[in-house]
Formats: sequence, structure tokens, C-alpha cells
Amino acid sequence: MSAGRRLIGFILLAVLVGVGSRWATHELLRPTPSTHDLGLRWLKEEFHLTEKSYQEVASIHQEYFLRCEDMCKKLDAATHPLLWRTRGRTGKKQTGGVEKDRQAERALCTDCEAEMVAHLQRVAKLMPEHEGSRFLKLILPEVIEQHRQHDNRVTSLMQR
Amino acid sequence: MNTDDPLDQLLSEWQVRAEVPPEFRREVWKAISSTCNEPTWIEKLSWWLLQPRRKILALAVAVIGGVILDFALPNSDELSPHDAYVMSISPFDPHHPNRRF
Repeated sequence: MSAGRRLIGFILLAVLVGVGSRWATHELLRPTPSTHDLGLRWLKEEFHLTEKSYQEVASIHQEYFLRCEDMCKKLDAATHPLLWRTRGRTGKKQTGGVEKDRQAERALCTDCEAEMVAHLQRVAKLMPEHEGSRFLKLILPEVIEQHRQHDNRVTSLMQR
Repeated sequence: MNTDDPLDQLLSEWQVRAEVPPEFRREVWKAISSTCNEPTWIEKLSWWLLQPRRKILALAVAVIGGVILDFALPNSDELSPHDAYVMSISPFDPHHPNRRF
């Protein structure tokens, strides 16, 4: 083997070792926290929660996440066939019964939003008063806007 | 052995008195080097780097470099904490962990 090839081979090996080392560091030494944990940590720091308030907030979030999981399954079950039927296997649009299913999906979304808003209000009550109102002012418009965008997205997908 | 041969006598008396020219050694090396090609920089680098100890050192540098690089770069997988919170509580967030559609 020529000197050039041996050198290139060794450099490639060294690069591979470096990439592997970075990957191992990332996976073993710097694990990414879960979305839930990261979010709860943010609540504690941003809204200056005491340890006691934080434990209560974390506890009602755990309950909410369980309810949310169930609601999401229902929502997925409502959204998936809706999108599937509107396109159909042949790609042709079908309208029979779609509007009824769409109404059902919207009703579920409304229930989800009500559940979420009630949860956020419960969380706000566990915060100092001014922090609670700041929390609601910050989060509520954002999640309500997301609901509107979700509605537009589903409508747009159905119309394609 | 028979030493009556006059040629033997002459050979035993003959002495070579050859003088080496003063530049002889240099000329020989010059002649040798003119027949060999100068090694390229790749060959020089390859020879330098591919010594067993340097190979181990280079691989150790690669390992340490990977660790340092990972700590130096921001964790790209990590969301902003605010976005992570909204994502975790809003089923309408496109990246909500429980939603598929």
C-alpha cells in the first residue's frame, strides 16, 4: 500500500474515532432532558416557584399529561380517518360523512382546549398572584393560536 | 603448491598503489542520490505520523477532540425551555409528544 493511501486511511480512522467520541459524549454525558422535564424546570425558574409550589405544579402536570395522552389518542383517532377518507385510497376526494367527522374532530379539539386552559389556570393559582397572571398572559394566547393553526392545517389538508 | 612458475613470483611482488581521488566519497553519494527520487511531502508526513507512538497519540487527540467539541457546541437537540413547555402541554403543537397527526 502506498504511503498516501496509508495516510488517508489513518486520517479517516482518526476522524471516525473523533466522531464516535463526540457521539458517545453526547449520548452518555449530556443526555437530552425530556420535553416535560425541560418545561417544568422552565416554569420553576421563570415564575420563581418555591420548592413546595414546584412539587404541586409538577404533580398536577403529571396528572394532566396522563389525561392529555388519552385525549391525544382520541384526537388522533378522529383526525387520521378524516384525512384518509377525504383523500381516499385513489386520491379522489370523498365528501360523504366527512363534514360530520370534521365536526366531531372540532368538538374534541374544543374539549382538549378547555382541558388545557383549565389546567393552566390551576397551575397559575399555585403561583404567586402576579406571576400567575403573567404566566397566563404569556401562555394562553400562544396555545389558543396553536389551536387555530391546527384547525387551519386540517382544513387545508382536507382541501388538497 | 608449486612456486616455480615465474608468474607466481611476479604476482607475489606486485603491489597495487591506487590513490582514491579526494572527492571520491562525495561523488559516490551524489551518484546514488541522483538515482533516487526525493520523497514527496505525503511520504514524509506518512512516515512521520505513522510511527506507532504518534498513531496512538493522534487517536487519543481525536477522542479528546470529540469530547471537547461536544461540550463546546450548544446542545442542538435541546429546545428553548419555553418552547418545550408549550410543546408538552399543547396538543395543538405540531411537535406535541403524544400527537401523530
